[in-house]
Amino acid sequence: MSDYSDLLYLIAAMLVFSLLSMNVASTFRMSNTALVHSEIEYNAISVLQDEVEEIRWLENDAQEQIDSTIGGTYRYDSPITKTTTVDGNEIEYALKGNYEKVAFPDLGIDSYKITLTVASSFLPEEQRITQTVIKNFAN
Amino acid sequence: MNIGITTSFIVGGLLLISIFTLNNQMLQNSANTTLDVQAKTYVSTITDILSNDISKIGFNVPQSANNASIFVQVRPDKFSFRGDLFNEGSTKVITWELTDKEYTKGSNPDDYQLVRKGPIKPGGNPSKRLIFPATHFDITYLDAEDDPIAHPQSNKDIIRRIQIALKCEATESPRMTNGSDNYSESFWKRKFIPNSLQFRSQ
Repeated sequence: MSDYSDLLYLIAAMLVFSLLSMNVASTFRMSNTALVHSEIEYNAISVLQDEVEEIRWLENDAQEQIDSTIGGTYRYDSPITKTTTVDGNEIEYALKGNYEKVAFPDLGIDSYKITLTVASSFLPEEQRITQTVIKNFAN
Repeated sequence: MNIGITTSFIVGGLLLISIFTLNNQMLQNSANTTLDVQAKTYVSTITDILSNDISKIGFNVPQSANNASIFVQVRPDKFSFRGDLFNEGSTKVITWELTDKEYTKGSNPDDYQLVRKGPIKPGGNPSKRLIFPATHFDITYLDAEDDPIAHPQSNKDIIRRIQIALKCEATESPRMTNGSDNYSESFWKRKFIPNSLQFRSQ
């Protein structure tokens, strides 16, 4: 080497290159995480839709049990656990719900607002899936 | 050759190897992402059509008919049913089947043809076939108590719910460093409780 300036250039180039490599690796990690999260979310939505279907077909005698556990837990004494496969691994979802009585005077129906939440330990808290459904019973 | 040039060659060579490795990894990751999105898109497309079809099961079939007359064939890998998909006033037969024919538009040996037969628009051809790649398509028929029906073909009248599990894989694989193929996959499972199956006599 002619002098030490070449060495400094080399060190600077390697530094820049390693920074670029780190950036690329970080982007890889982010895109992979986004892909896996989107798959888990998609399946969480299916779990939620399954439950909405079940709620649609709750029979009238369920109302009594809901009334006795208002603010409480009919069907959701403990989180309902559902399992699905994501990238070859079994992923567990915890489904919770709670009820709130809604008044629609003069309609002749009893209505409940049911808030459902699906969580997974593989999903960040802000990516939990929540949906509210209204279930009506004739009174 | 003096020591300066030798050192430059060695350092430059190492740098070049690093650049090629990084480039290779970027290409691989980009291919992985694309193929993963491809598998997810297949699942998303199939589930959109399937959900729409299943919600119309038995629609416009006379109320006096029982569930057995709504279904034509019910097997774990195939089901066909009557329904009025586009509110035309007459029912058509819609069939979904995972055939044993390989899906040849790719290199994935586990891909088979998932065929949907039925009209795709009002007044459309009832024999129109849509073909998707799928590696797994499993239908479970459930009764009103949510229990699986052991022999659905002979117990069509008690089918109240349908659960479908679907797995799609990418049609191509980025060649991994260990030489084995690794196909991106996407999985979906959903239970349907179609309106028309709930109110008919058994």
